Amino acid sequence: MKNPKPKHNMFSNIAYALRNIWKWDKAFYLFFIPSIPLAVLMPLAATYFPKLLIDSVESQQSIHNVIAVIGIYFAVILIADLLRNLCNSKLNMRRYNLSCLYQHAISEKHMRTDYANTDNPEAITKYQHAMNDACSGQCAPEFIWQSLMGLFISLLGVFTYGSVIAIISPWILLFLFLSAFITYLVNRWHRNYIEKNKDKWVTIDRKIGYLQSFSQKFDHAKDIRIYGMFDWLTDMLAGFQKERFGWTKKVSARSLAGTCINALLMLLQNGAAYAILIVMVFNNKISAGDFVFYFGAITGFSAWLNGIGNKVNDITHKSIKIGYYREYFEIEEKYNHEKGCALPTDQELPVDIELNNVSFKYPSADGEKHALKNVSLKIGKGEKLAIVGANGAGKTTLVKLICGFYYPSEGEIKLNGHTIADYNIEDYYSLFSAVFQDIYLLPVTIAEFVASSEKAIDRDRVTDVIRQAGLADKIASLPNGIDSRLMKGVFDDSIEMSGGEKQKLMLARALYKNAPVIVLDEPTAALDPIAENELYLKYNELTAAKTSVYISHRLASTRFCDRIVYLENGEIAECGSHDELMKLGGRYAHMFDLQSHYYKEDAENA
Amino acid sequence: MRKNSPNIRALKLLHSFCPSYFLLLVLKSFFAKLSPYFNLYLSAEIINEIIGTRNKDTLITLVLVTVLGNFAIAVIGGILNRVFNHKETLLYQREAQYYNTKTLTLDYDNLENPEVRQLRRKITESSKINFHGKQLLLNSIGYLVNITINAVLALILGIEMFVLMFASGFSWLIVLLACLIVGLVAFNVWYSFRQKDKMGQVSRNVSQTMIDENRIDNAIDCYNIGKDVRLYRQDKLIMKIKNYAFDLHKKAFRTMESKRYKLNIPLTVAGVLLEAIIYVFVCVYALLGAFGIGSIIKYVGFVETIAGCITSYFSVFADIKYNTPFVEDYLAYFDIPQKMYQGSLTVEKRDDNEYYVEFKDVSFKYPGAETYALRHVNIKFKVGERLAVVGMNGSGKTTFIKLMCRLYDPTEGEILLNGVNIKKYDYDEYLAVFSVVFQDFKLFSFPLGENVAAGTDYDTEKVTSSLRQSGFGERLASMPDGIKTPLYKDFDNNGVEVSGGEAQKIALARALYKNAPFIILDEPTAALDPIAEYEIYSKFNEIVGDKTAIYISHRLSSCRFCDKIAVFDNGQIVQRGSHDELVSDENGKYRELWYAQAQYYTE
Repeated sequence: MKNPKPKHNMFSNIAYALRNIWKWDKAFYLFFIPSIPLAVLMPLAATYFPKLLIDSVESQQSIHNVIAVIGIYFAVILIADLLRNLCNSKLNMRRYNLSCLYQHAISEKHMRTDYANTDNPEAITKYQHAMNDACSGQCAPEFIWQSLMGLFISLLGVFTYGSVIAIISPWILLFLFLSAFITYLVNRWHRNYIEKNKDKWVTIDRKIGYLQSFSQKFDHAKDIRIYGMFDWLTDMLAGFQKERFGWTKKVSARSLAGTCINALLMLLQNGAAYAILIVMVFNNKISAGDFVFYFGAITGFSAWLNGIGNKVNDITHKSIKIGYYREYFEIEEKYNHEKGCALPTDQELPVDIELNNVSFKYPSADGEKHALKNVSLKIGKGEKLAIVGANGAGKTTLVKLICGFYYPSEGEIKLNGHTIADYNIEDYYSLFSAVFQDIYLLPVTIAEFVASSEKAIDRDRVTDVIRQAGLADKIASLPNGIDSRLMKGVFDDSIEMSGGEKQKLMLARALYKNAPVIVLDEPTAALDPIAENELYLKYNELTAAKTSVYISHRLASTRFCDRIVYLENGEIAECGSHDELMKLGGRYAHMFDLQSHYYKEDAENA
Repeated sequence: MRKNSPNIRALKLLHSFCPSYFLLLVLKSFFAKLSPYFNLYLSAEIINEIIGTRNKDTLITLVLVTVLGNFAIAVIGGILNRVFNHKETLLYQREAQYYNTKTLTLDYDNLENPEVRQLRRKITESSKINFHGKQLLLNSIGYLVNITINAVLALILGIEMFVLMFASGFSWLIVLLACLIVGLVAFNVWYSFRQKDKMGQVSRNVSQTMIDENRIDNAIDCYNIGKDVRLYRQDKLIMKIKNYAFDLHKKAFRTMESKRYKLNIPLTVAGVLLEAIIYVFVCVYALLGAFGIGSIIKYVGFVETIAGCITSYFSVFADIKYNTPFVEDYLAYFDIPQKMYQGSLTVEKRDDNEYYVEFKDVSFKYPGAETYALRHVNIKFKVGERLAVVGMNGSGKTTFIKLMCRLYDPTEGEILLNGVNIKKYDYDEYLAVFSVVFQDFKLFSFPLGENVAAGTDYDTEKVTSSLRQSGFGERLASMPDGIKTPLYKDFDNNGVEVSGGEAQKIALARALYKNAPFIILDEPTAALDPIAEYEIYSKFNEIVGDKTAIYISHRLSSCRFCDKIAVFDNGQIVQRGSHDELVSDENGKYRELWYAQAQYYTE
């Protein structure tokens, strides 16, 4: 996998993370600081205590003295333990808060950034990197604090233990450094292998997860049963699992090799330590208690040393992850998000929209394939425009550009004389009431959904638009009416809606917003003929004094529009009123004839 | 022991997935636990030797045994650990297969049954978030094995200590200390039980809020709703929902955390006190001369371990008890009966495709619903017929299809295939008679050919011709790897995105590939443009051939090429006949539907 060079260096990332903690929760530091002395002194005390004890027993001191030694030691331990518990408990709560703040900041960014940033692969990767880390329970910009402390503690540990050992033998110290270095290299070899190959098994894991959730989904069950997909799905699952297991084996073979090398190093290290200390005992340089203490110090020392390697590595990793957050927050925006020119005043309504030589290519598209090529079009004030064309001709792309979701690759789009980039894009969005083909609900009440707001809901208006959209009967059948919650399964009392009902709900929401421009993309695909006809009949009323764009495969709808644009392969092939285009006898007329064929009384029963 | 029987059942099931798992668990734990004892024991010997006779050869032997022994234990432990991890992976993989198999063969109506859905949700959510269920059971067993090995090792090596202590006689101080130790252990056991009990409810609350939060987050996955969020300024609404879930969780979490902190204080104090008394206890013996000074650390270690094991035993049993309801849920999923699979008749393979289907007074209510979705439906059609089914939204058209494909069994009445109740047929064989394109069909992020054939082994020729027939030929020709091209980019950067219309054509090709005697199309052209739609219409007879076809559509033009039309209204068939017959019925529903659409095309 290609890893572009990170934008920020490690120190700037660390500073960024610490600054945010300081900004959001100063008390966090208060509970973290006591852990430093505790973390260094406790292990040291644990190593020193047996020495004290053995010495005091060996010198045949009275039982009171022995009890005093034990008593003092454990009193210290008790205080330290209680203090540590208190700090940990406080920190746990704060930690949870911080990672949620990051999650929320990412979500907000995701909802406000240019729409193009939510469906271009590169930006999605950035978003996912940041979000995955924030939700991982090990949120890097917060846990970096722990790693830094760990490094600091390890350094202190190496210093204190190192001084103790240096008193006995500088040589063993050198040996310990050497062995820690080898351990570090082995760990790095193992980690690099994992880093290099991780993507391969992560992909397999994703496939396994996909298959499992696919099998679970209720929507999929019909196809799975009718087409007897059982064998296919189970074979695939078993196949991926086998592939995954192959990787597990490879990784564990390497980790076993690491274990063996470490065991060998321990063998050499402990052997040398014993040899040196025993010689010293024989030379009467140290007591039995010293022997225990020094031996503990030597074994402890390598743990501190390895700790430094681990923490440095850990900090590097976390810094990369902090970089993900920053890169996402600093993602390039092509539209204005704060300031912009003023929206049209009431006198300037309805608006006109002008496209000059607009071309557009999706960032994920292969090669030079443009979704739109050189489209020039002026939609007049209050005009009702229909866009028709075959699947994939660019109809939806065109309205997405007009709504300000994408930035044209070439050319410009103007609304009332200003290009979209001049407006504050959030203000610009307020000019559009749109119903798109893909339907998504939120787990909120019908009233909140229609008004798209939690407060200041005009309930009479909600009821009114619901009636206009043809949903009044459905709402009347619900015990909680417009206060029923949507999306069955999220809350206990949430309700289910059919495809047709959802489409009507989308229409109601667009009507509630009552914006100067109405965009409808296949709003009747799931509606029955009666409901479809009702919408047609009301279309003029709904779009009175508004500029509107209507996309549909049902060409009957074009009758209510002033002008029809026929798109073909991203270009405008024909443009005019229904009668003009029928007279022209071109593509539109052909399409219309095809669709009318079976509706004509004289159609032969094919 | 009655209460533990689900645990034993679950363990037997898990054991069947990988029989050597438990043996390796014991071996691996043994070597993991051996190392500290080995070191405690030998370092005590070394210290005693240093304090005592200081024999060079003995010391060298002891040191060599220590370091080489440690090496051997580490290497053998590493190997065993590796093998164990492999077995563990296998066990979980096979368990996943088993679970998936059950899911895939669940009766369709069970999938919709709220109880089954809730059961499955409980199983996945609680296992994902807290590892409750099978995983906690396996973990608990792992702990149990560890504790037992620990206790056994400590007891074996500790026998020596007890013998030495016994030999050195008693003093009041020792009796007092021994009583204190027993008392503190008893306190620990009692208190941790009480703590588990008190924590149980709060931690359940936290899990529940986590589950809720997770579900809400899934429901508002912002990736999909980008357009709506921006145009309708839903960001505030979404943040409100997020904050609602977050606050709920935070509150529960805080309660749990502060409760845990408070409840832990006595345990911490008792723990430290216990350790201190054990030290005194052992030191007193050492001062009495029961054993060498070097053994102090070792014996303290033994006594501590045994005391710790007693507390841990009770704690693990408390965990197992707490986990039992989750294990019961887990098993209950596998116990859901599969009544669809009870039939055994084979469907006669007829070369002449001479099949007929009959609905005899069929009524149907969805599980949990109060009103009937279908009422008294009687219809019979035979091979080669083309039936159009029309009606308003919610009139029962799709339900009718689902019953015919036996995704549900009728509440009343019966459905016959060639005169025999369809319940009597082998389920898989019965389903093989139908090719269906559902309104909400689904495709997979795997290669196109596999999608069409619904399998990995397929006839390339037949896949290609099916795709051509469904009108996908042109796009197919432009695909880099032909039918091997993966659909969607989920897993493969070479994957291709297909539009709604193209997906519909692929779904149709899948139905054609299956080549079943009945072909059912539910709104198969909803996402197609008029030209593609016309192609399907005009080729309809060619596509369907001599099969029986049922066509559901809101585009009534499709009725023109069907022999018979059934008009559904409120779950009943209100009209039946040919287009010409029905359209001339002035008061009929069909005429109303037809003119609502046709008026725009027929002037």
